[in-house]
Amino acid sequence: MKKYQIIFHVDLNAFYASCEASRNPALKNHPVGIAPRSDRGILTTANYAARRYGVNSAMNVIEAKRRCPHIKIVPPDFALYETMSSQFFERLRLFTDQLEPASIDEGYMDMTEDANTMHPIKRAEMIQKDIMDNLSLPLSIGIGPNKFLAKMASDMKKPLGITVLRKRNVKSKMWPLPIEQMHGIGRKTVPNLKLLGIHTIGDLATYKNITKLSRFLGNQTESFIRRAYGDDDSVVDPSRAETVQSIGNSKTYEGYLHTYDAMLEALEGLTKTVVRRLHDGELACKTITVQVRFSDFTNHSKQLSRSHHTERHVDIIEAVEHLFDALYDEKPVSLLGVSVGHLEKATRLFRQLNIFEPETPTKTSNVDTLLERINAQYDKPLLKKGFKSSS
Amino acid sequence: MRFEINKDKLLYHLLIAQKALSNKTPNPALQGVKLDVEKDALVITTSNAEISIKIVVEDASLSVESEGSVLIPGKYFIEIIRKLDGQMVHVSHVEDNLIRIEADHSDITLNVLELDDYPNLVFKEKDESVKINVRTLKTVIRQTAFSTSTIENRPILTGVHLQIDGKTLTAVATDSYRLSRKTITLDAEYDPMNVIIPGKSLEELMKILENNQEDVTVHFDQSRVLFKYANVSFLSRLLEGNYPETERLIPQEFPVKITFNKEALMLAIERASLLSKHDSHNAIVKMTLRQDDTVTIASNSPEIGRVLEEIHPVDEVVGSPIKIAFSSRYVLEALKSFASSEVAISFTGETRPFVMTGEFDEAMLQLVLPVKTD
Repeated sequence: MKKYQIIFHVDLNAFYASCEASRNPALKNHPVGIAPRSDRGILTTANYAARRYGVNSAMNVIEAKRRCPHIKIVPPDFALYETMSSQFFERLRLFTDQLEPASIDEGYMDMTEDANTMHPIKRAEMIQKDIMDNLSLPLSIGIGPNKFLAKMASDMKKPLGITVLRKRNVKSKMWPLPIEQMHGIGRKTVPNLKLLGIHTIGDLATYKNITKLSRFLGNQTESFIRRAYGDDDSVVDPSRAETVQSIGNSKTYEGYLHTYDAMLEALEGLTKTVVRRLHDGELACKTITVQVRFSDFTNHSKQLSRSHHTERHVDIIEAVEHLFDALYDEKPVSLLGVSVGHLEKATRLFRQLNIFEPETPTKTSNVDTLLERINAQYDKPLLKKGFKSSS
Repeated sequence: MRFEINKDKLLYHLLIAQKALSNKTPNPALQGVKLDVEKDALVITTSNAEISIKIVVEDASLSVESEGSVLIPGKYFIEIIRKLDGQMVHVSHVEDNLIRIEADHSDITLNVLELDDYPNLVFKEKDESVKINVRTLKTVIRQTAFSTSTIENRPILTGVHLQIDGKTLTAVATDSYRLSRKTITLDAEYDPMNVIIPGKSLEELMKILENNQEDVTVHFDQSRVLFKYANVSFLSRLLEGNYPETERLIPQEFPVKITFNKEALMLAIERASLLSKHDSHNAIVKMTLRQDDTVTIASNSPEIGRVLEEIHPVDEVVGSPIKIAFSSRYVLEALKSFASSEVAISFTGETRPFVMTGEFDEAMLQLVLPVKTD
């Protein structure tokens, strides 16, 4: 392994809003929120001018307008964002092919080789200027000896920051940060860690009772602690983004599942997780696959291809149940898996309507998202819809 | 078994039989063409899980030397007959497991399949059957079958729903995103009938129906339907289950109605579909009726470009401005099914189904669900 690495984490600031300002410069210094055209909409992004009024993403439009009456609400144009995103990554590839896109607006670059020709900070300034000149998009860059520290660094100064986080500065710069700012710690884990008295990244690094900790961080406990000390061995993998072509979840059952109902229940759980990951990535899928291993060790799988992409739980669970019915063989089951493929960015701009599901105003889907969000926080179906809970 | 027949006659009938030949099947016997040579007829039978075809060939060129039955690997047999020279072909069962094909300078032997493994297919005709003119039946299939679903998660929607009530036959197909309905009047009263025939079966049947002047007789069974046409018997399985109620899903009143020249509208939608990022068969196209009663068809792919088409309705527009988005494929396929040169599109709202009708397409409607944009 290389003795040291120089990793950049590049992160576009208020990406959707910046795209809109890039298209319409009049918006540049005006408070802007991106939300569907409806007062019940939720902001997906607010630009920095709006943030100064206390507006932030995930706030609803009414609240945003209350805090900042002259805010301009722009409906999302995902096609534009996708185009600008690919132009962004194309420009980055002019600097190195060691580029790993991490989402629509951020990525990692391995600049170790490049450091032989130019000082990393000079290079970062050059990249920042290039993206601003060519795409009018503000970019923050974090520089570190590994991906984790680079990511933590880029969050420290926004917008248009260039921040270096060295290992020797971890204790002074990173340990005082609240634990929710540690990359990789999920929303659901935060309250649990706080119960253990872990409020900062430093608290996590120095926490003594590893057994207790691993109850919440699972098999990743050790790697989180290492990261809290500034160590991370994951490498920049340019092919990683391309290989995320499916999302799957499977589970083995040591004592076997014996009844059809138990199998269906297990599949529902697996499907929930897959759908949540689909939503996290703002993706929609076209194919759905169910995998089964029976007690005789034979593996079977069946796939279904839909005529339209979907990200909706009802569509996916319906397909999963249908596929499982075709596979079910009255034998005990030792493994079940659900996966979805042919992923595409969910363009919520378009939805093909269905004759058997008459269009009611977006109410239902709002309720669904709300339930899902609440249930996700508790990691169990705490709330169900009325017609379902009689079971 | 030994017979001689005109090669082109044999090939013609084999190509009809091929429509029911399986290539991939758990039962290898179904890869075979079954020949039954009778005193003055050659009977060709093929079958797959969905459909079975039986053709009785009584051609003047047929001369039977000895009767008998044999099961021949279909793919090879048909290719051999297709490539043979000469006018006549001579086929004989030489040993238990060999068939010999002789024509002109060729002498070919082929291993046969085990006849005992072939399923017993019953092409039984009923006392009561429904008679439909070939042209009418083809129209019904052509105007409905394309709307059946091709994915299996709701198997019932892969079929066309046929209902007979007195003298009326109604065919409905939907994949939940569009719906086709055609009604015809039969030439006699029949008992009520309600079946679901796989759309694929009907599309294969349509390819076989040639002579528009002739009639097809349709024999319904609990689980199968038999179409008799000329010397061909075409058997299809039926789909089991209840077809969803569709009648109440079709809007009855339309505040907006626009009549188009069909060709002009299709060309405009096709051009608007060209710049789709994913596939031009399934582009999202926006149609807008403006205050001045002109209509625009538009599409927009930021990274490729945009198309704006303007169309003038051919008749007076009823209703007020409306904007609707749809998947171009569904509308194009629906338009293609019309014989009329002018098609009226009736709207009830931006997120409600819209319906297409044509003056010369009696008792036929095509419905498409829009795409919601927000």
